[in-house]
Amino acid sequence: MPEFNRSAWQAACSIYSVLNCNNLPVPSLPELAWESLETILRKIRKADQAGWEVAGSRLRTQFIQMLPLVRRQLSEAESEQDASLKPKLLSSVKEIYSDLCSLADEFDCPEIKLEDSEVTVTTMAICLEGVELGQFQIRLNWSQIKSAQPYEIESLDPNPAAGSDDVVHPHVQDQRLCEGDGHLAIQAALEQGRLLDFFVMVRQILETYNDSSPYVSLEKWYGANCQDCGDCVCRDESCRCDHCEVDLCHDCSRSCEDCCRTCCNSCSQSCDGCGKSCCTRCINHCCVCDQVFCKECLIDETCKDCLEEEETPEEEKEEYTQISECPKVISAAVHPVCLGETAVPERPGGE
Amino acid sequence: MRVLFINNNGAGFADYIELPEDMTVQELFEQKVPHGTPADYLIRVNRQPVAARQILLEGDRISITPTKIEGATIS
Repeated sequence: MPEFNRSAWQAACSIYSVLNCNNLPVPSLPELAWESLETILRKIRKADQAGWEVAGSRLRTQFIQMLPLVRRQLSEAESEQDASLKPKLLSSVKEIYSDLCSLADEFDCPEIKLEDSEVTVTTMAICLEGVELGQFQIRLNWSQIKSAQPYEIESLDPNPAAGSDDVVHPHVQDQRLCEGDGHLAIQAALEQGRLLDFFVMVRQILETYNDSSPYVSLEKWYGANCQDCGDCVCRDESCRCDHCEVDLCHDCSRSCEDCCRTCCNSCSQSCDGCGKSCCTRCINHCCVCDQVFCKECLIDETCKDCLEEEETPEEEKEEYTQISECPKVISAAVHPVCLGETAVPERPGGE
Repeated sequence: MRVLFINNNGAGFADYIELPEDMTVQELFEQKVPHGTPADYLIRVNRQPVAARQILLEGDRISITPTKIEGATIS
């Protein structure tokens, strides 16, 4: 028969009393929505008395639209009260005690601190995708067991991400674990006093890497690679392209001269008009020549050169047309500038 | 017979359930996690690891916890 563990029993009694403390929520009524209904009702009466038919009709529509909101809020209040009165599956003192005693089978050095209301366990050294993260201590404060996250994760051999001392694990920041897929199951285990399940689930999260949602990805744990030059840079010395979100070193990052956003080489272009360096959002193609220009060098999506070209040939064309259509004599008289270009008719019999 | 069944997968489930006599741990796992592989779970009976063929008894506490639970940046 296993030896009786007095501190585990005392802790189990204390945890049970915290869990068994029944803080029933005060029922709430849809007061705001109800007040709105009463206001609309007063307005309807006033509109009817004054004979404002259109206003009365609109107010009645508003009244009908408000009714489902009141109904929904009432049913929410009902289900909240129902859930709070339903008997919950709560571990007994004996079960909590058994959980505390079994921690030794799963973890190194489980520790109960009655004075601090804390149970602490230590994981094995954790290595994720070749990155040694070391051992972690999971510290549960049972006096806060009904709060959102009554536990902390502490690294015993911290190997924080480069430039982020508070990130000691891809899913831990400031000693808080982001539970992800385990959130609801952990919450249920804590609510029911299943402490062994709680500690095991937290350990399993620490031993799992979710590459789609880390604070710092493991591939960038020791720093980020600049996308443009390939150099490895510390995270706090790197910056990110605001467009394609690649990491950059400070030497390779550019700032758009129009919007001041940071951008990489691929997301930056020089204006063919003034030579200004702009990001892809601030630079556009001329709809005629297809060259790239900044906002200032484009007028109605056309660059200044193309605009001038469009205007100039028309004027010249008009001039040529006038010259060819006008009688030669008149042409010379009206356009003295073009006089030199006017053909002089030959005199009959002249030389 | 009545046992406490705990499934720490997803939203978590813990309740007493009725099982036929002489049911093994493996049979219960196949019934409750039909698409799962036992190797992907920590299966405990009365908080201890057990053999797949162990026969369940009245009042047993069976827990199933995934070995991989993905954390995230926002919980």
